[in-house]
Amino acid sequence: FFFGVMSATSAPERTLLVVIVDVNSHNWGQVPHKVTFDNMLQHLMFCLNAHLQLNAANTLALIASDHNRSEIVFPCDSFMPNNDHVLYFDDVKDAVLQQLHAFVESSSLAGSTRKMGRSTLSSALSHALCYINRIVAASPDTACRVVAITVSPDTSSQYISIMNNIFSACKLQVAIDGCVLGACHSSFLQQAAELTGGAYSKPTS
Amino acid sequence: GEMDKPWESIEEDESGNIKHNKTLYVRRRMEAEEEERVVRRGVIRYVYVILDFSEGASEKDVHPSRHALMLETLYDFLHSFFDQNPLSQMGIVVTRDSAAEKLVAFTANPQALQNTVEELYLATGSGAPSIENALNRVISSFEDVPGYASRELLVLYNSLHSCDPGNVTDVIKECVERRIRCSVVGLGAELFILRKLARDTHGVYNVCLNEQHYRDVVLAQLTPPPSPAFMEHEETAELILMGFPHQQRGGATLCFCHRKEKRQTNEGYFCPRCHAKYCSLPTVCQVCSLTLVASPHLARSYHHLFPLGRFEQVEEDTPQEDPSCFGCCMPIQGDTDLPLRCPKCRQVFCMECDYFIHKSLHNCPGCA
Repeated sequence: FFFGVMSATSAPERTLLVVIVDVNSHNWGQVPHKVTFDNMLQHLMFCLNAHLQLNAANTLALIASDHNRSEIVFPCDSFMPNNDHVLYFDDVKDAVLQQLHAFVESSSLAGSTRKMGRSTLSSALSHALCYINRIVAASPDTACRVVAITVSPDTSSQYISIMNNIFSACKLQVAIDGCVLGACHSSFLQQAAELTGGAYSKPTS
Repeated sequence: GEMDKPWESIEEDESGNIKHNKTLYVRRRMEAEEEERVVRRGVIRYVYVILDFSEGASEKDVHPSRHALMLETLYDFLHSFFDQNPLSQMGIVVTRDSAAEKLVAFTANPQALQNTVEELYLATGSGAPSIENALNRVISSFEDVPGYASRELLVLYNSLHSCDPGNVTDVIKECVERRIRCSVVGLGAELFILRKLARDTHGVYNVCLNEQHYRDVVLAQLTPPPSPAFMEHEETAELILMGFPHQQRGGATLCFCHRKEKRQTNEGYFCPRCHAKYCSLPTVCQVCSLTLVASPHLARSYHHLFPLGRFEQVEEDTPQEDPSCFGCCMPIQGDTDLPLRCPKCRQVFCMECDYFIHKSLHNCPGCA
């Protein structure tokens, strides 16, 4: 009946993992512990492979975020998602690396140094949530998760936008995980992880 | 008379799938217009809901009955109210048998209110409603409400009459003097006295045509109303004292919110002024009356104060093959979908993303 209906917490049919990768070259250059972008990509590929192996129906999406724009790089025009289509890691890996490469190449280096240090985390999270909203509308039994790998410090003018993103994520039951590779903690990602039930980590080595 | 035939407006495409209804979209955009204005709004709201539980509530002209529709809509309203207005409080008053009874006084706890609504679902309407008694019952409760808060009444009315002991217009004048904004949602037909109540107190009065209209009108009350002009001239407090306790762990101690059950917990929030312990936020400290909140609670109200502008329809003069939506990167099919452009970043979005962005996200992905 209306009041007593609780949604059954059955195991979801599939999981959608949305990864947000910060490709801000200015900030990658300032990362301590000698972690390079290629290192990170290697580890990321392992994780994506594992994710796709766990369940044949698992899907993923990748969003690249730069200092002045962020875009969904995967799925892209040549690789549109299809519910019946099983994603094989080999195909995915090539497409992802190619798209990321193209995105980084096309990022403009114009602009002052101050502006180069910014991040577009709120824009990337908004993209992620729009995509998730679309996928969940099509197949409601998808569990979704967002993982943000960032190197840039927080841009305080984005506070309101990020809080809006967090509340929207709570409503969609999407957990936001944060992995900070930069020098300082990101309080935005800490709040996001706490409020949405995700995990936050800042590796020390 | 003519029967309403909503099934005739459904269209199918070649493969037998149902086409999206563009009129639904137009309706959604009309709702968005109202919310778009950037005005001063009272975000801290103290709202009393007055329910008409008289004989009129048992009428079955709406499905399943007026009383069921009223309670179902109220249940959803409660749930979303504290989500969108976390610093607010709500109470419930019921009017029947020519009297009014306060069921729940002002509280910030949605559970208590939801339990009351569930109990009411089993009750039946009887007698006549009384506007005067209902208003008298709530007016005195508003005395303790702080000056900076927005005082509101939401009346859900189901009858065509009211049984009042004295002069209703005197009570309405009192509401006006005490700055209580009364909005009414009616089923049946319009009543002069309710129109007067809403107009004099700067509220809104809607008489609903059907279930969907009723729901839309009640849920429209979730947005804080614009502060009326008279409040601008008043000496309202510029700074409001609030406490922001951190969660702390320690030995097992008693908390103030569950002192009757003598519940002991290891963690809790301690009031920064008097160190009384509470299990959850937001709340008002019962010892020193300090409002205790966490910063996300304040942030939940920001989207009312800084609303996102409406997206414009893209002109058809540059026909191109299906563009991709910037938000979800899926193609926008020309026949079932409408491309919409953000006026600031000039990116194009599909209908689904536009609805999601304006209803839930309140952020444009293109405007970083």
